[in-house]
Amino acid sequence: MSYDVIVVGGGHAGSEAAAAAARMGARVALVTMHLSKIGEMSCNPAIGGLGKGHLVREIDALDGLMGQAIDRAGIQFRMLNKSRGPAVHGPRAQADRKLYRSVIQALLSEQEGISFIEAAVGDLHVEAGECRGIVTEAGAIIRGGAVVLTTGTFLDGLIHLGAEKTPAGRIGESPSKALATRLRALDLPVGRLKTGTPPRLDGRTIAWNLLEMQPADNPPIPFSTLTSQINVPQIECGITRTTAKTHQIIAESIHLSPVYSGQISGQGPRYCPSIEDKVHRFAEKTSHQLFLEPEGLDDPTVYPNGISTSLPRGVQDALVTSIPGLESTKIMQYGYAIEYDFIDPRALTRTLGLRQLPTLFLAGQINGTTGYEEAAAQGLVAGVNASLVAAGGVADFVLDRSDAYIGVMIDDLTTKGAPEPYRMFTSRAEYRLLLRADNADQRLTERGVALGCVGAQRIAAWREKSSRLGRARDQLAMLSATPKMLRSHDLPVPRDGAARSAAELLSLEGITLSRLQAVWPDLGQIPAQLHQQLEADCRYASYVQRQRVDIDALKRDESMKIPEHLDFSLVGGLSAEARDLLTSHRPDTIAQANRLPGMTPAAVLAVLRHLKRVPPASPNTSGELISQLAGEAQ
Amino acid sequence: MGSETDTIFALATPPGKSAIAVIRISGDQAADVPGALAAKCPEPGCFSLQTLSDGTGAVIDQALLLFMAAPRSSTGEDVVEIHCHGGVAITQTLLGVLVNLSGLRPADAGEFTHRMFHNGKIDLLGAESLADIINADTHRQLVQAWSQMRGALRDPVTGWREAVIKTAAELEAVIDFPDEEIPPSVVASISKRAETLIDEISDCLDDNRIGEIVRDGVQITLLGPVNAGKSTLLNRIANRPVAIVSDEAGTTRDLVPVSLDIGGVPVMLTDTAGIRQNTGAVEAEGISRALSAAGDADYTIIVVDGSRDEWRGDYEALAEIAGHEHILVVNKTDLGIVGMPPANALLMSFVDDCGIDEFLDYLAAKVVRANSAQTSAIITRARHRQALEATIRGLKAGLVLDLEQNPELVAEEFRLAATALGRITGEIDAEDLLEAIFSSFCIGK
Repeated sequence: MSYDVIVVGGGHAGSEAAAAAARMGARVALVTMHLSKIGEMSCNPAIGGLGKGHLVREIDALDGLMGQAIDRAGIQFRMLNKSRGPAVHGPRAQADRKLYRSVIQALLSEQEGISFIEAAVGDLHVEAGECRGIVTEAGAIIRGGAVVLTTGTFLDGLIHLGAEKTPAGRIGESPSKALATRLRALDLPVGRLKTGTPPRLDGRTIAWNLLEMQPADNPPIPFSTLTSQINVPQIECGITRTTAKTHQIIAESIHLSPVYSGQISGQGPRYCPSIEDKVHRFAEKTSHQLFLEPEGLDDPTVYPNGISTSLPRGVQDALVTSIPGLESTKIMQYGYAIEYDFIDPRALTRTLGLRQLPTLFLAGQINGTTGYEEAAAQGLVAGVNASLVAAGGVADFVLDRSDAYIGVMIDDLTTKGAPEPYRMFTSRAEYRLLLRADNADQRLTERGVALGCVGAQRIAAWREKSSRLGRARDQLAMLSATPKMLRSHDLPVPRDGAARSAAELLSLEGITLSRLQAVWPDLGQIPAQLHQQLEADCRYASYVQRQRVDIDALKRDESMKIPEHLDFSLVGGLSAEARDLLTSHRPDTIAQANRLPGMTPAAVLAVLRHLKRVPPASPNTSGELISQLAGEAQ
Repeated sequence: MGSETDTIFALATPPGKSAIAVIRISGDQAADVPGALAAKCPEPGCFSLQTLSDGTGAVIDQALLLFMAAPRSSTGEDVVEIHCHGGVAITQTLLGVLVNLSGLRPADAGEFTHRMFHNGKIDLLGAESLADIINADTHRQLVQAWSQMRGALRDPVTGWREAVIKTAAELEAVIDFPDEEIPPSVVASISKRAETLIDEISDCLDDNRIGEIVRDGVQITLLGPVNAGKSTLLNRIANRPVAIVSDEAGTTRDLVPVSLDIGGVPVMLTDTAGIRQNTGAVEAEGISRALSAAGDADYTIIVVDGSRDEWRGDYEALAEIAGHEHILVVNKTDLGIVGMPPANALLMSFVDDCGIDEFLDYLAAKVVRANSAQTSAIITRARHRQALEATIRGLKAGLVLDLEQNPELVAEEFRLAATALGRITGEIDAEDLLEAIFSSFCIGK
């Protein structure tokens, strides 16, 4: 049996990869150790947040699964930063873990063209130097035109709990040892990372009545543009804090932590530290907040967000019961740290294909990222590109930094690598005001339609919305009024006598579309669900205009491709460091070269000149200056 | 421009006869050059005395050779210097041998500096300073250029940029971690810090442009009717020890420029044809050039003959032409001045030798503003000033916005501010922000 695309792994990256490739028309095999675990949330039962929520909206805009799945499984929707500007709104929802898994499995089985194979993968099937399938641990060869590896934490995974070390991919599940050995043998740049998870608590033993509770938003705002409303019942989460006693327990047993005893060498994420890290590194802070998040509507398991730990069991028992509300709480599963292999993502191009084996694609934690959303977004890109190569075409689905958070993430990974597990933040996006969660469909859906990864239902919904948006924009540009007239409707406009269009008015503080309806009742025809998007577009118009210059420069630099086999030793004027850097990282474009850490503007200029074979050009300010200076200094 | 992999060479000393001359060679093949002259390349970092001969075995010169191996050389490449006797035939013959070696070519203008920059030996400010050091005509220019090279601007800009990044990082923490416990004091400190930065950078900008004036010099034009004493004034200024005449640039037919060093500031003082009506074509052209020179100058000195009845009318007409800042000199006080001169007039007589020192003091004060003579300027180019002004604009625009409601817009303005500072020294990177965030806050639920 032969397939177009073989996806190894059924986590968030694998699920999106399989679904995206199948939407593109590929015959897909999803190979995973346990079919029942497809769509499993291994760590915290939540989707979204700042930056991450943006990624989910982008996945949805390209017709991916994650947004629809969380809309059908979310039990506490909250829009983070709701009181702030729309560019930094972060949609987030806690999920019912079981429900989420089953929705993902349902969505995958509804998708035509995916075969599900339960097997442990032990090797890659390489023919004539190209990866053309996989070999199961049982020895069966499954052939395919391209392979997507999404191994999560399974590649030579090793769980640490106090001094105990257990080879595992997740608690109670075997790691992928054979595949790890094989990848190491391929001479790929393999490294180790670590992450951790908190103990799971028995919610029936928590004194909820003593805790401060955090409610869901009402009404909940869905992730997917295909969801009209959320039908899952919404719950509250509890908030409590660590105490002086907790900190004392941790301080006394910190030498038992595998990180502090030196047992773990892999680098962990700075932004998701274990509780022992927090107590150790921020000793002046006497208490840390934690959120008690129920893992399901009919599941007593509670996820204590904020106390990830790998301290021994006895210490975990003591530290949990030192926290108010948890005095008699039972642990259902102990927290642990896990170390796993990852491939330095600088070995990939921005299609997520390996430079060394262009039909092999990697997505998710294997690329050094952390988080379901990061994994899913990569899965989608890898799945699309794998289907393109499998069909005999060129893998060229690349989003850049001004297109999407997905573009920012993949560019960061492939230029800077992953010195620590990579997580998305809005501060990583230089065009944050443009790349909003509310306009992901405007930015990406048409692109997905052209590519072929968007289904008929979404195309219809998007086209409908798009034409409504277009009409509304025309209307807003055409209507205008003087301050005098606007003030008669109590609108806060400057008394400068200047007539303003409705679009210009929306860029002013305190003016909304519904307030403008008082002046122009016709605006009432604009559907309410479009208000926020239109308001945000107008609000940021002048800033986005300003950024346009940078974006145009970026697009220009991105269009200047560096030939794949360029010999950098032939490029004159490069320092030895710059030459080594370029040779080892092999940037695809001038723009990417410019972003390599350690790269100097002068070196970029040298490459550019080599490519253009022209006398001193002036692609950037530094270049111009230097040429000018050279004239002065003689 | 040739290829950047070529080995380049140039005469590093001025052409003509001198005790010694230096030829500098930089690039991969530099170390092969002594062999081509029948000599041995010295050990890295060493001088050695060698006899140089041409292809026929004829001796060219006995010279000191210096070899600096990459990367420990001025350009970062292999460098050989030939310190030979400074005869025209010697240098011509040596350069003739070099130009015929394959892979070697004469350096383009500024190419050694270019390579220094490419190889990370100097940054942008360093390259600018080097140009200023070489081009310094006055001591004050030299002092200023070296102080720039050693970080006069780089150090504060680096500090400000770090402060902007730290401030922006705190803002980013507020945005990206809304569920974390960011202390409210952080938000308050963001505005405060931005205000402090604005003050500091404004102070630096408030320097009367002294650095740029010292670097670029000042253009002054003498303007006046015929026989008012302009040329006499020029000669007297030029012969005073307070104003050192460093060199006389080409004398045009009717504009006579003289380079002066006044208080360390290079001054180009230009004498012009006397202005009068009803002249021949040639003189009319001279007058038109005089007026145009006055228009281009930083200052115009209007010299009138105070003993003539028309001097006031002459002055008013010329003042209108000079337009901008001008200095009025009423000359020939020894003959008696007609009427009351205005309060801003400087009175002068060459016959009585009076008013000249006062005039020079006045001129020096104009050129080197009194209050900035002592402060060390750190802005030496318009590019620095523009970047710092853009920084302040960004910070101010950020402060006008509501930090709680629109932190993303404030962050955008601060980002512009940091980018503007980065244009002076380097680039801003998201990792800088994240690093600053994680070292300041305990993030992670």
